[in-house]
Amino acid sequence: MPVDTPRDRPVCLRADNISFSYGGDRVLEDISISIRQEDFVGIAGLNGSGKTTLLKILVGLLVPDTGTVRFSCHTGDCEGRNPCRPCIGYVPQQAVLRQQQFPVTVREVVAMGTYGQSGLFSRPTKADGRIIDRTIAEAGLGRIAGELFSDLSGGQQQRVLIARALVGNPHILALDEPTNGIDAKSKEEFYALLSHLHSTHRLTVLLILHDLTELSQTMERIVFLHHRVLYDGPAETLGADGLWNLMVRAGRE
Amino acid sequence: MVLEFLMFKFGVRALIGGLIVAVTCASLGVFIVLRRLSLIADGLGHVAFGGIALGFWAGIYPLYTAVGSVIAGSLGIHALGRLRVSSDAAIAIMFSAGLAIGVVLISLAQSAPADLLSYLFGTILGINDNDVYLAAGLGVIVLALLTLLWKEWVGITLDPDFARVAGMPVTALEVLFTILVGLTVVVATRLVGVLLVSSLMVIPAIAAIQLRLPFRRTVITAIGMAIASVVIGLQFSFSYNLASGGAIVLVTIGFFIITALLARLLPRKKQDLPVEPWEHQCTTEPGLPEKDSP
Repeated sequence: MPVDTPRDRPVCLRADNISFSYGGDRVLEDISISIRQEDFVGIAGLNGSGKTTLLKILVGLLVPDTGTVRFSCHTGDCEGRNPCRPCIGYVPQQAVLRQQQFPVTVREVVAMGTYGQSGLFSRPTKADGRIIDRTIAEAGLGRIAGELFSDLSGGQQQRVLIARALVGNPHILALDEPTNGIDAKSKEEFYALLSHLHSTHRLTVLLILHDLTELSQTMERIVFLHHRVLYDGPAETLGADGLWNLMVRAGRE
Repeated sequence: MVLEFLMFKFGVRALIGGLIVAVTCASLGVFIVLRRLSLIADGLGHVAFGGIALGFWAGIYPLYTAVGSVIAGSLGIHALGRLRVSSDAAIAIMFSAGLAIGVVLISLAQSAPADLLSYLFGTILGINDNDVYLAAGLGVIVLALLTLLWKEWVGITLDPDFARVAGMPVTALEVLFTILVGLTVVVATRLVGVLLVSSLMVIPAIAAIQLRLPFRRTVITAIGMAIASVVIGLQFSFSYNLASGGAIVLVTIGFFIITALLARLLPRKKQDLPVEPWEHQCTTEPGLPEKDSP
């Protein structure tokens, strides 16, 4: 596949002048970012800098105090809290599924990814079933589709949650600290998978990461946040040292 | 003789009413337990008690006022949630309010109505045709909504954030779910009583969850155990002159002990589960304009 320069790609998600407060505490202040198709973006920052809040606003889980979020998907433009379905595939930081021993199989978890598209009172169709089976097969989960989700390793669970996010064929994959609590080997496999999805299948990836080394080595673009945007540009230009300096600067503020 | 109570009309009524309650309670119960709301039925049961006392005080059929009170209580729990009161604290407030209103209204009536105890402890063998019709009507509504919105209940139970991002009206569904639990509590109150209704909802569900089956089979197993508990409990109640509600709930506890032991005696080994390389395909199309048009 030819490698485009970033500015050649259309914008698929744009947040303008986003501000957000929890009670009286201002968490985000006048944030504006544009995500272009096939961007591979890491959102970085100290604890409490507003990373998860920003991602939740971008995916429609929180409503900003001011500002707008706009999307562009297969099905057309949409605005604010109502992204076109399936515009975004979301992998939450603390998925309830990973905290409890739910009696639910891998297939049942992946099937959840189709639920939002068919509307209230509708039943999953045979076509939905085929899409679910295909996604499970593509994700390499075919042999464990009938296993309980809680019996899988952390890395395997993460793969199932990504399959669930992708089953609706979204434009953007948004992940919140996806490598938390998984071992080094699973992390390696996870980054290889993300890289594969991004480079081979042109998926836009938006990812919150905590680890500076992982960020600088894995992502193409970094948005460094400390209640406002301190840096938004190529990861290569910033480098691990630049990222570390931003951390120190944010810590002093 | 087994199921000898079926030789009597009151026994047949008891079995029909009991089966309706068993199916309704157990099917909702799995969702209740997995959403960590096991005490919600207890809370709404006490809200129903307030409604029942209101019915006695105002001279209205008590289950009608109980329906109104549990709907108000369900909305109250969610209203408190919007005021940043945690769900367990909101349930505790409604629990206390329902009980207090009930006690105050009974004290206004000077003496406790004789029938009140039957609502507290249940009299499944003493229910009349009206009770069965009400149970059937509410049971049909609850089960129809449970079936029609199955994927939505699964979504908000397993991962509410994901369900919200996927476009489901999660808050509205949560309110509706609480109302369904409240209606089921009313249905079950006449049969097993306010004090035991929560047990019939959550214990078969907890017992079924121990078996670590897929989701749909867990719900079906919970329903099966609740039905068996009603039949066995009624038989014990009739044969040994025991309180029917208590007998039914004790059987559900028996099921829980058996499944909990089975789960411990036959632990599932974590296997080295095989996964293969990823081959996902997806499509993209042009996106937003660079700037808004003026």
